[in-house]
Amino acid sequence: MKEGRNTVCFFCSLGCGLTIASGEEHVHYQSAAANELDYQTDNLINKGSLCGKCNYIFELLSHPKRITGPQIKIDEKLRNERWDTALAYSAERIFKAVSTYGPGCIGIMLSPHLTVEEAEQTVALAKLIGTPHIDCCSLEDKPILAKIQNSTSFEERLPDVRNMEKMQTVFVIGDLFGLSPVLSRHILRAKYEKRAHKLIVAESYPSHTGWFADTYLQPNPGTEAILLTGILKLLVKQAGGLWKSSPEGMGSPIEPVLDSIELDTICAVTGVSVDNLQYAVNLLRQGNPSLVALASGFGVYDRADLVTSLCQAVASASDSYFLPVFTGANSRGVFETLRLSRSSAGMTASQLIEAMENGEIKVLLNFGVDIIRTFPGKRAQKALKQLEFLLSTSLFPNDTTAVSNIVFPAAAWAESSGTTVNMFGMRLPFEPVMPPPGYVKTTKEILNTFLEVLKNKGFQEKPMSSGAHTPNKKDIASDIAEVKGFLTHYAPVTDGQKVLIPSFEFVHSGDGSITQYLHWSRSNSPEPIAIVADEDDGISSVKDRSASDGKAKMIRIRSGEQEIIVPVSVRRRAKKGVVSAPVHFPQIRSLFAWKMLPEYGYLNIKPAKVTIEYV
Amino acid sequence: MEKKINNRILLDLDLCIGCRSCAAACALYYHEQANVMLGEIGEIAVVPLHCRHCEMPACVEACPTNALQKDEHGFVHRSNLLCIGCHSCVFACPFGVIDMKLMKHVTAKCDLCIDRVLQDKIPRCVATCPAGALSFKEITEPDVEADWVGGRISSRAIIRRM
Repeated sequence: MKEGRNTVCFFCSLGCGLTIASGEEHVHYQSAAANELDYQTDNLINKGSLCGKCNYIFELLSHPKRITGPQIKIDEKLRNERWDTALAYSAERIFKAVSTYGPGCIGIMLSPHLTVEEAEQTVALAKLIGTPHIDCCSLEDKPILAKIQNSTSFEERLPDVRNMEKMQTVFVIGDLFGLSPVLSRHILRAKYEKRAHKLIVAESYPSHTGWFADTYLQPNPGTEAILLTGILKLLVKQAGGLWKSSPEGMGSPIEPVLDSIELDTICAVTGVSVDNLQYAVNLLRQGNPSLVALASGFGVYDRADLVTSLCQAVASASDSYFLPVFTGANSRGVFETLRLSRSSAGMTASQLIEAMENGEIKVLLNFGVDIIRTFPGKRAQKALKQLEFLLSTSLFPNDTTAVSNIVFPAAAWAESSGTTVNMFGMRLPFEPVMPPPGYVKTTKEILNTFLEVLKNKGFQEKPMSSGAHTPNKKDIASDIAEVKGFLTHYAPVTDGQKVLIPSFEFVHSGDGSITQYLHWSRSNSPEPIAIVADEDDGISSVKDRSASDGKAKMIRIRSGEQEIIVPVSVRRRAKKGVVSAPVHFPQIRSLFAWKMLPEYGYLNIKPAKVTIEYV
Repeated sequence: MEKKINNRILLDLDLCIGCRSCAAACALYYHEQANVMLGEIGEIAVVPLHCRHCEMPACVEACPTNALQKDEHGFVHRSNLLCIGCHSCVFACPFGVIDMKLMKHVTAKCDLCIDRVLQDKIPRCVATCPAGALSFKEITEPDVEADWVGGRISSRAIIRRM
């Protein structure tokens, strides 16, 4: 009799439950495996629903390309090694680096896919080594979480998943359904079960979520913060007693700074009319309860931190719940663990890359991140080459493991136990469904053994040193003042330029470093395709030629020094002057500019200005 | 005597987000041969097209080798051994739900996940649907009306926007 065991999906931050039944030691894909996936129809979060990626989670568990044992780089080639030798070698290299350069030369980078327990152990590892430089590497989620955690104006007001279907107005910023398809179950039920419920969507590109909008605000790419300022201005003006302009603890009053921003300027920059803004505001005020949901995404927003802060302000002014939707499965859990224990002097993931470039960081311990794929451009690749020692854990071989000195195999969630915290703040514990393949150990086991080995080497746990750097805490009034600065410097695209914005596909998640191994994802999105609008310059001739020879036409997209050539698809509904392309492909990610915001220590990756040419 | 199963798969077009998860669940079980066809409505939406297991199935009539048969529940099954991949059922189907593409020399044909249905479970595509757009129930006349594309509020909104 095969026994069904429950686990949690790790492709997005919703934390859908699924059941895997197996009487065998290992699941064999395409034979027994497919028979054994079952749907938890009584699960509170997903009611049994799974997206396409999650259905194929089996494939990861017994994938032929999985790393199944530790590997050490000898003569520029990774070779299999015994666990004890590999661990002793790593401890020796860390010991050598610490004794030569001091503990500050070691950086630790965590994947948002780690469990809470694994994150706690990596903090213990950092304390044992004595380095404060430990951070979670999730470019999409970091600005949002950092802003929420450092907000001096707002308390987080998360909705309960059980109340999601009762929401009367849902205001979505970004492609929520593309990021987390199963969340649509709750939001669309709210919209259609009682027909009075309304959905407002603000995103710069008509995507999966936009289809269902009652009010569809389509701001120009990168102007979401300005659009939200307009909505906040109208809300504050009309809300009367609902919104106190400067409640205790919120910081400076916001009315003077809002009054100094003209609504006409906001409408001119965002391209959204006053009537549409007013309609959205009316719906938000009528909704009881109502929800503001912000979908994270690579390169979607210009200053995601300001967008987060303004979403919180709009939610507060309209007495709504605020739900940030993260790309990383356990971003919230890992960030929370680090926030409680991490020293403020430590570098963030983006600062670690800069420190590697200038030689401050000599050794990097990388738990589950494909750094080269995640960071746009080639800077991360060059930075990793500067390192003296790079340790990586990974499910699959990737660009980062290729340049690592030592690689430890990682276990998937279905193969390990732990706890994750989903977007609703729910702690979801899970147990292993089956043992990992080959000589794979769970990250928890690796860290436990590693801590023992380091203790035997004479390392002793020390409290994290606190430095001068403190997180920049700003109130909402200063955030609005910053948006006002945007307005004065806003530069629309010039002739011949277009804006490149990211698109998200149901079949991929995050940077695609794991989903690229799923057969379903590969077959549904085999190559990057740039989508442009009909009636764009020169497009009709491309269409004609395409019809005559039946071959896909190519487009050259140039952004700064980077340029790529990809197939082009012409869509009638696409926005003029905008090129969109899926950002889980590294070549597309490389087109987005990388700019560090030193005050927060993360990257601002915004829609890029590009030129296109048909080839 | 087993009880007769009159339930069929119904798509609520109001809720379908076009994510293809139904096809993924089907393809996983049936060895990469998804029995759910995907229909594209212009450039706007992708919706799944399921076999309706008709009262008088044209595909059964058209099949030259009797590979397609209707069972006691009214489900139309295809025998892998008898199917010669001649595409007769593809042309006969008035709803266009049988894929032209052959996999392992046979056409794709939905069997309503009979293995699950007989255990009082719902078909895989229905269970996995992220938006809850697919349901497995006895279909009534109002359901059939609601199944029309014109009944979709969001599609009307899109047409208005265009």
